[in-house]
Amino acid sequence: MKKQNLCLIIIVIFLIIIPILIKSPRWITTMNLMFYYMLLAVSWDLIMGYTGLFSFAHVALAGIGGYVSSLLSIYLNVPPYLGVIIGGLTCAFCGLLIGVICLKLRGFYLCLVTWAFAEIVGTIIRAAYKYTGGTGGLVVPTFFRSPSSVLYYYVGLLITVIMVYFTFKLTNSRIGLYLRSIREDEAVAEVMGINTLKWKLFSFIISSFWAGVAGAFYAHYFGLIDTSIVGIDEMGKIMMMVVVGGIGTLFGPLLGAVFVTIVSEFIRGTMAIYGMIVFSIIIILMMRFARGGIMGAAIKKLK
Amino acid sequence: MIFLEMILQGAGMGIIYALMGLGLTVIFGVLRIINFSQGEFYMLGAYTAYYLIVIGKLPWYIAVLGAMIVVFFIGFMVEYLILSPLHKEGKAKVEKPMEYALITTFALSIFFRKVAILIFGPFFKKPPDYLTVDISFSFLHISGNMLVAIITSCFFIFITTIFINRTQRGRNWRAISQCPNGAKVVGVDIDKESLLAFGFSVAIASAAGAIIAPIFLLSPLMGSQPLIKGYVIIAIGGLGSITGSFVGGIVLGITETVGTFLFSGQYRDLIGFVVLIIFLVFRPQGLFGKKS
Repeated sequence: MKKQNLCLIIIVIFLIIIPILIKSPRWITTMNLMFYYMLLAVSWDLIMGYTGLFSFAHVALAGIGGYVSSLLSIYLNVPPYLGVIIGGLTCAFCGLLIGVICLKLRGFYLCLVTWAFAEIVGTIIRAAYKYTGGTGGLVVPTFFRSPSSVLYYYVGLLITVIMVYFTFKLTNSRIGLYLRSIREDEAVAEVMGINTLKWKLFSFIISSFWAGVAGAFYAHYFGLIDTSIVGIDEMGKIMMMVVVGGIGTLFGPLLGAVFVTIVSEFIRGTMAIYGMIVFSIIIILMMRFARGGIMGAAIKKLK
Repeated sequence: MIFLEMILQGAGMGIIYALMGLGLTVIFGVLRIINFSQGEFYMLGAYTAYYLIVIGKLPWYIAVLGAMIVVFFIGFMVEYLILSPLHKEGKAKVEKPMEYALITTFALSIFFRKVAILIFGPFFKKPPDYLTVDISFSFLHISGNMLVAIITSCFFIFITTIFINRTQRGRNWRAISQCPNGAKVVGVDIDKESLLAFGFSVAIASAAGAIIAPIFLLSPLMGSQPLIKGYVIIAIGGLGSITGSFVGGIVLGITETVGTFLFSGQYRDLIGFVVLIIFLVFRPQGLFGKKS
């Protein structure tokens, strides 16, 4: 445990001094995007990898968080750092609603409802273009007046470190054990006296909260939010990060997020379509032949 | 009178949704998975029929059959290459079949969409009308394309029902959906039946895409709404019930058409979602499903 803590502290210190070492604004922007994806990938893994619930609504929730926080800061002058929290809480509430409706039923219905929910969020954002700007996007007030990416880097780092620490504590506690047992076998978990409905709902709400925070961070960092962040391709990327890194691990999705973000930053523009084709092939091959992902292979080696 | 016409239009749409739901029901029964790439097979069917009509100069009914055959073989390959570990034993066994199937079919759906954008181009296409004359009885008007779509879909639904209820193959599939191990004991070859069932159900989806092609425009993203609707009507009708998906399709089609008339076309796709939520809250087992 002591060694692990030391490692984490070293990593955090390293991340803090990165902007001093790397001056290129392009890399700092990529790192900021990476924080957004890390938040999404880890929180999606919390419901998918730890609890075994399959949700397609994750990027839609990020979209809700982003739009709620943006609209609040535009119309009501709510400061962005407060907007991030309100965005997260709105998403937690949406997660609660979805969970209450379909967590009692079979897994099939959760997939269906979250997926329909994602489509509906996209439809509403496009249809209510008077307020949301539709596909053209919405210009959003940023966190700081200064356009320097470095300040945002520290905001992103702070949020990500809090989230990773929280998830680490959560998954290594008794609650993490409950969640894992639900994923392994829900009926057995129920017999062992775990209130499966309660804990499934709990992990769904926590995960939705972080998705909302991530979306709001994205909106206030780039100063622009549009419908592409709730698209199906984004969900594919999140899935790719978790599958490549390792389903049901904490550091796997972080590694996956680093990998996918860097690759997709290098193939922007007309090449992006080939990138998505390659990503989808990688997902299928990983699922077919290396289900554990990078972390799974590493753990096997260590043992 | 306008309401009667709308109900007829809605029922027509509903029958096409039902065709979509039928394919999904077969896959859910035999392989026990949710297939997220079904909408992309629908899209592939529509494009194959389009090219057979426009370049091959074939009549539409041959083109629909051709699309079904082509997509059947694509589905065959997909099942063999990607989904076959689902029913293997021993080393290749998948511990979490649902999760495996969801992730792979989702990735497959992205794959097909992107490849379709590259090959077919991102612009909308429209095949020539299947039946150019519009039919009108004293006050009811219905377009020739819609009539063709309704009649062909009814025909396919009828054939599928007969096939599943009366033939040996259909009996095998029902046996697998009731109890895979029991089916194995009495000598049903699950590998072979899964291949055929997957090919069959994606062929049905492609038929739906091919016959709806002149009504809606073709685009690489055309598959997502029919897929959602296919699953919504399964939830309305009850999981695994063919009658259920037929009735569910008609209920959804009529609700959508009337809802679009009363509210706004922009929110057309929301209506299905609202219907779904109402059913999940008040009657989660669907109209014809059994309580689990």
